[in-house]
Amino acid sequence: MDREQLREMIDACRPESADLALPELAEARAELERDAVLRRQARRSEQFDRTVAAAMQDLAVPAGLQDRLMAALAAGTPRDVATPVIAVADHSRESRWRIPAYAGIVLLGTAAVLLLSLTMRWFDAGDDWKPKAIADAAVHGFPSEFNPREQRLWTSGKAASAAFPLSRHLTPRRNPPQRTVRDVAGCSGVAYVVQGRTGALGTLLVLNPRATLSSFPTKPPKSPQADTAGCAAASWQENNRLYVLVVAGSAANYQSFLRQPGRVAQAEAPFAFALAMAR
Amino acid sequence: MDETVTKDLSALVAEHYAAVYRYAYRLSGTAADAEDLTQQAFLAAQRKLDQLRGMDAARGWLFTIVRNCFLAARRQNQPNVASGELRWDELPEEAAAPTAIDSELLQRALDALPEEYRLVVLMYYFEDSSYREIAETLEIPVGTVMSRLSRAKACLRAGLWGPRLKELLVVKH
Repeated sequence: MDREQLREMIDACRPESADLALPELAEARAELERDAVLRRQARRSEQFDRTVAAAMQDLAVPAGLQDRLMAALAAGTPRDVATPVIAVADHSRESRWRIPAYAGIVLLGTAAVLLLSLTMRWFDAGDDWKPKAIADAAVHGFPSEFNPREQRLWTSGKAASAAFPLSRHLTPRRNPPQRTVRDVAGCSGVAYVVQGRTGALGTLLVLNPRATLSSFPTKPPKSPQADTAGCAAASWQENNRLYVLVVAGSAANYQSFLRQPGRVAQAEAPFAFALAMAR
Repeated sequence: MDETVTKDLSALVAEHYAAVYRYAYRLSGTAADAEDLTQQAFLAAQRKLDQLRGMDAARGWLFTIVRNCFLAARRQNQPNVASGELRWDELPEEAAAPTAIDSELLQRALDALPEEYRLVVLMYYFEDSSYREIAETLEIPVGTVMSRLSRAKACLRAGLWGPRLKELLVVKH
């Protein structure tokens, strides 16, 4: 057995588990007892595993996710998703990634401080968390990162994200070109290319809000909140998300994107849309 | 919907949604895809709730659903990255282990892994599965699991500590 094979075997064993005691690893076990260099590598591998396992869990969960999930389940949204065919394994055993007790206390303290700072941020999001400021930020990014005509930015042929749905207040569009956005005014979400009644293209940002949405209107305003530099934009709240529409042109162009009340949505014109994208 | 089922489902969501989201995020690499995947997984769980063998097994069951949803979506949307594209032989053998890893840096390193390696790594670290359990679940030989784990760990080391290693080399010169 060469050193690479030994290393693979050692790498496959979980720290503080009985994996290394398995019969097929007898040779690796014996080699470990003999070889001090290999033992050192194994210790480093275990340390690495513990650090990575801890970092895997170091991830904030979006605010309101539980409510959105419950709402989706109550609606029983039919989705074409794969269901598990693999036999259910019992993962109820205690995790082997153990953290010493003092680390737990430190983590709890850190969590409390984080919670406090997040709460404070939630209630005092600052001047940049206003409809006009968000609309201004969208106008600023429109020529480059949200440009609907920059085809390399967008992925086509994909259904709109269920978690970041299109607005019911805009002219409907099926499978709009889209992309993930990571930091728009401190929020992440999905950007979609949308089309107005006149055929003009715009960008709709559907974002996970980083603070309370109480100061945002519940539907897109009739007039844009920002109308500068040849662009018009507005922001509002919907589905517990922050929505931002930004389009080229002035207020009239912006209004062509808003769904007209009481009017039946126009049938989709994918070819016209594709042509507009290509222009 | 039956009241008992609704109650079970609420408990399932309340107890596991955060873990399911984190798993989905590590698999997919973006918040939007992770939330989509989480929602898909719970909707699938809702349909198959009668297959769940007790709440004790729920976490593993949900992770399996997330994994299947992820793979199904990947098959629909984009081809898999060929595993040969990574230069395995150029990865550093060893490095001094840091005591903490930046979460985003870890995600970038995970994103760089070919999908079949990322799956194995996440089952190992996130689901705490043994190499035998991984082999059985993914229906691949034990040797393949070992090899993928070892290479994936080498890739993670390179992704996480590569810059630090480069810095060290600069100091030496």
